Amino acid sequence: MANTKTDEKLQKIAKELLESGEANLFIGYTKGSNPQRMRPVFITKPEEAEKLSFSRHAVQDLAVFLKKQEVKKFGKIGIAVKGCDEKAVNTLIQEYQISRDDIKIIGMQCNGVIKQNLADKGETEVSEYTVYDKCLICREHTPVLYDFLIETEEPELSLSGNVKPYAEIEKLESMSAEEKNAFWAQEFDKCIKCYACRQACPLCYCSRCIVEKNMPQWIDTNSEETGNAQWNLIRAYHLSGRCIGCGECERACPVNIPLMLINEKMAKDVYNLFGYKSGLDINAKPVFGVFSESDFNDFIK
Amino acid sequence: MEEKYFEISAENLKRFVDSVISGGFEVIAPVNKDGDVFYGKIEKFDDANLDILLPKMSYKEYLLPKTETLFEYSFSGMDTAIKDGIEAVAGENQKRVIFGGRPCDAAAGPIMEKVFNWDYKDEFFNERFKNLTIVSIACEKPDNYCFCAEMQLSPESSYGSDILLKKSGAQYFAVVTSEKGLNLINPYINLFKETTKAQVPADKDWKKLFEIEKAKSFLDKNFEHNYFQDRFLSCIGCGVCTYTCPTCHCFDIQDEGNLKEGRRIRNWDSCQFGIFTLHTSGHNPRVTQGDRYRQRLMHKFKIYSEKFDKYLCVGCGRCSRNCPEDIDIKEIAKDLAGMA
Repeated sequence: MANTKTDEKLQKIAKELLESGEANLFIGYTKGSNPQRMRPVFITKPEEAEKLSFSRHAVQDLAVFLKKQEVKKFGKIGIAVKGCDEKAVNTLIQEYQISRDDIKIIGMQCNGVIKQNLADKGETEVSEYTVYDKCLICREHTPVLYDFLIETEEPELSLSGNVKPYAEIEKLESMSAEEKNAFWAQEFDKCIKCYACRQACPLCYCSRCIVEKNMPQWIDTNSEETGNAQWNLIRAYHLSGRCIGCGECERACPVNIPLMLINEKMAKDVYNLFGYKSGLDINAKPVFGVFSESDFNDFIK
Repeated sequence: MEEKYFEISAENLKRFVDSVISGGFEVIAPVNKDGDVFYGKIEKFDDANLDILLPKMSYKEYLLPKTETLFEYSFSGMDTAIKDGIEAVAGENQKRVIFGGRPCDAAAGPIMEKVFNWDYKDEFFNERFKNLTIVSIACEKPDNYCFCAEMQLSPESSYGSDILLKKSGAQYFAVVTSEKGLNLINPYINLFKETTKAQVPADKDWKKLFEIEKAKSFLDKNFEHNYFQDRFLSCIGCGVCTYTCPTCHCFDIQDEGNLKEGRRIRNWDSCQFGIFTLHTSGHNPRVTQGDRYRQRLMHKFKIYSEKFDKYLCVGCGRCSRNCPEDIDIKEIAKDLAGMA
């Protein structure tokens, strides 16, 4: 397929960054295993920048690679990120995992990416019925922080209001504790403990995850009721106030657990309780890393 | 057993499956669930979705559950009671049929059986495997991620199936390969019409994109090749390839319990995890995802075949379809063969 204008702009920027030495590695997208798939690509030579591409199928959050040791060793890195994914970069900077000076952010303006399971069946149209729920609530079509911005050629997503993003959250909120418990017991029963949710998450960067600690064994190793519930709940807590809503955990989950219902609910509660949204400001203090006198609890005062 | 051949109409196939269910069998088939298709229990033939190629996960869990209790123990005063986990497994799958899976999934069983019976005979696997009845349907249209033909199988292979159904116009031909298969159809034999091998449509000549032997010969000589580190920089180590794979069988043995009681279990594990090879000393022989994905390729296309004469891959393509970062194993195997 021919290059789009977006592709050309992206390739030019990446090439220049690699030539000037402002980046030793450029992480972007290239065409994937079928016409409706994109995949990550790692460019170190300026002449290979022509592999770069971007489209409505660029579903992956490339910020996930910034936590990899194999990637970190390149030092200065250029990365193409959509608005949602860029919030992960901000959080990594905020949490001192990467330095702002070592990263060149190429913000990819985006009006929604098509759900991969639909794309695999041949879907090519962007509409409120085909994009991820995160796209329907997105307020960062233009990334909040970037060194270069590549404007989108895609039309704006038209929303009729017929599709209610994360509609299940309201249903869950109206349930009794027993009903919620039953709902999640059924969902967690599917879990196979592959930890794809953790690995696909740009913010799950612990060098040793709590499930890998066995002195003591905090989390039961079994993939049954107890072990699965413990794992999914501990991950929910570790991501609350941090999750930027890229949805990669849910996309990676091979057994289709609706993990974004947990993450979005936690994000919603954190906003309602603390007025904080993650990933928007690299200078903000992480919500659970600070105490403010305006916090609603007074037990610590 | 010598293969037997039958004809069965589409209506009678439905009657057969419904009769098997009402006869007390649990029938597991591809079903629509959570926006995709997974293997699950059906209450009637019509619950099954036979229009799709493959469910997202394989049915490996019926041979090797994601968590299995090997034994339980409890203390009472000076007494210790131990209960062998095999007691709970005895006879399991005797009343279970996998219906509507594909030849690739079926082939995974006898391939895995080899490693579970190599030095130590794994009675848990064996008990489940010998009892499970597999009724597969031959594929008419493999997709671009499929490569069973390259893996020395075929979209029409009966290897590992007790009964293989081949669609032909409005009816099916049933190739019955085992006593288990014959026992399943015997009560309903009036729905079937016996025929001869000559009447069953011959297998098509399925084209191969590459020779797997060539991929193996590359792996034989190129353990340190840059390809692995470069190509798998995009691997996030999520393990989805191994967990959705019908032949990946690694497990981890763990103890869970307290001062009064507990159990020893085995859980699915994955060579894609950093902790998989982490030594007590802190040393890890497989440091990068390049090292780890190379291990997966080595095990599938080299090591297993050298030891057991079968490749540890049936070419179902699940690892490629399900990879969040679009790593396509067929493309990789082709690359390897091309570099040989």
